[in-house]
Amino acid sequence: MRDKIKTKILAKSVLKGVLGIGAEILLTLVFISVGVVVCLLWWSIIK
Amino acid sequence: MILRPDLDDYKVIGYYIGKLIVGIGLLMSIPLVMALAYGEMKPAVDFVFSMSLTLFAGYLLTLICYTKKDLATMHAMSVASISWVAAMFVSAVPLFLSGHYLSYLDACFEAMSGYATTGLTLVTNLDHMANSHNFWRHLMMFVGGQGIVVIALTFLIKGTAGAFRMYVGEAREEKILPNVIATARFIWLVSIVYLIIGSVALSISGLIGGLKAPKAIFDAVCLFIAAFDTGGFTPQSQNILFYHNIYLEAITVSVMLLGAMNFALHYAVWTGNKRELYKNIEILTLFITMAATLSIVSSGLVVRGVYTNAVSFVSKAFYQLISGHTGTGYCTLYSRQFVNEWGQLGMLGLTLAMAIGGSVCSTTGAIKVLRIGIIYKALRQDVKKLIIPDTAVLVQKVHNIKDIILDDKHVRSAAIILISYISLYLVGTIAGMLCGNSLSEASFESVSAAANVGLSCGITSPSMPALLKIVYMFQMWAGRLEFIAIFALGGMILATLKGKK
Repeated sequence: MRDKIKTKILAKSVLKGVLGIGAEILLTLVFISVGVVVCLLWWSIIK
Repeated sequence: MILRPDLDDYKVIGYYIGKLIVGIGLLMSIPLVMALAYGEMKPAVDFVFSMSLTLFAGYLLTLICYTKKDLATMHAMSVASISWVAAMFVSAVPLFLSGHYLSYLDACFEAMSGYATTGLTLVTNLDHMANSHNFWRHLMMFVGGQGIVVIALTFLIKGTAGAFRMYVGEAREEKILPNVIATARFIWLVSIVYLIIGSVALSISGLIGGLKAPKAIFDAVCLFIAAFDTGGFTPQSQNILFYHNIYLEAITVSVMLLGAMNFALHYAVWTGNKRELYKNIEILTLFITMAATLSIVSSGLVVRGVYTNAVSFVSKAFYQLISGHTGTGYCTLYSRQFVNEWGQLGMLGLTLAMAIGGSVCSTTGAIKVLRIGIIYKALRQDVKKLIIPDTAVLVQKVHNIKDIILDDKHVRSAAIILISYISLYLVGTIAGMLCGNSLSEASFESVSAAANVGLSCGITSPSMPALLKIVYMFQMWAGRLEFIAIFALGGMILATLKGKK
């Protein structure tokens, strides 16, 4: 019973970690998108 | 009245430095095994010699200075600052023996650049360097990015109050978990998990780009280490430009951004608190400063008409900007292109981004976005005070993992570090100008060294004056440790010279 609970807690922690990594990678993609938009904005304004 | 330190004070410092040197010696076993695996016999001999010398020096110091006394704040700060210099001297030995450096000073410069995760390099003929020597350069960067003290806390030193003081001395203010050893181990967990994910992704992109499997894997591991630890060394002399690979560039941008995030933020997100990603003051400030500095760079480049098509303009401007802002130093340009093509405005935008840097408790250097955010909030609070009635009470909050009420202590601390960095940037700029460089070039290179970035406009080379090499080495060291440990070491020296018995 105790082992089952331990495994469940571990699985929950691993899942949280995986989702956390996914969220962080998504954030870096948001940074890249914002950067591209800023560059293109200046390109279209001044060019 | 200042008290002069007694013999016990020096012994406790010597004992812990000895332990850290032993740690560096043991670390040399990794490139040694690698040299044997690759059949590189001469480098293997270099590492056996360097390892023996380092272990002997470390054990001798721990024997001579053996003590059971715990570290007081001044001891811990002195250990944190001296250990980086000691690590530089011993780690430069195998580099110098490799024959790829013109002098021992150049090898020391490379070692300090590696440990401080700067990425400025004085290596010659890098493309023909042995894999084990090349990996040693990247391993130093990994160790420096994690923190030499963090390594020692994980493997060598018991978690005492003194251990935490040493950890603080290494520019890591935040204890992510209640126990400092657990904090050090969590920092390792994040790095190892991302090392696996990042290396696999970079290997695949290398294979797509036409590299052979062994080379793709070796380069992927080296590139990941230097990107996540915001270092900037590459296994090739032409930096990222060598690969001509858009996938590899996109992955390294993501890894650089992940490396520039606070380890406490990683902990919060990994334990389920995803809202932190859009509430955190560091992330919000990073967005704003990135957009602002990118606007300066972009406007400068578009006005000069450097790039004729939008795709190459976006990829060059954005890549260099993220590399500079996160303090990495990866580059898809040749050094002199900054001066000849980017011009004054482009260089100014990039210099500002480098001067700001990433998050606290990450692997980046520089002023850091948290301090910029705090100073902005304090300024906003002062302006608001002028508008609201005199009797009204104004409370300004800052959200960094938890809500913090902004008080004078936070602003003072941020302002001291800000002023210290600006002074450090100025020292290098003046030194660069004394050596015959223009203001824009000297400030670019100085900020790059002090903020532990590693982008170069061409000043850093084996032929630059020895004085400038030493100034940049000092900047890298002081910039990485964020001054407090160095001020404490200065205080210790002053107490030795002028203190009363």
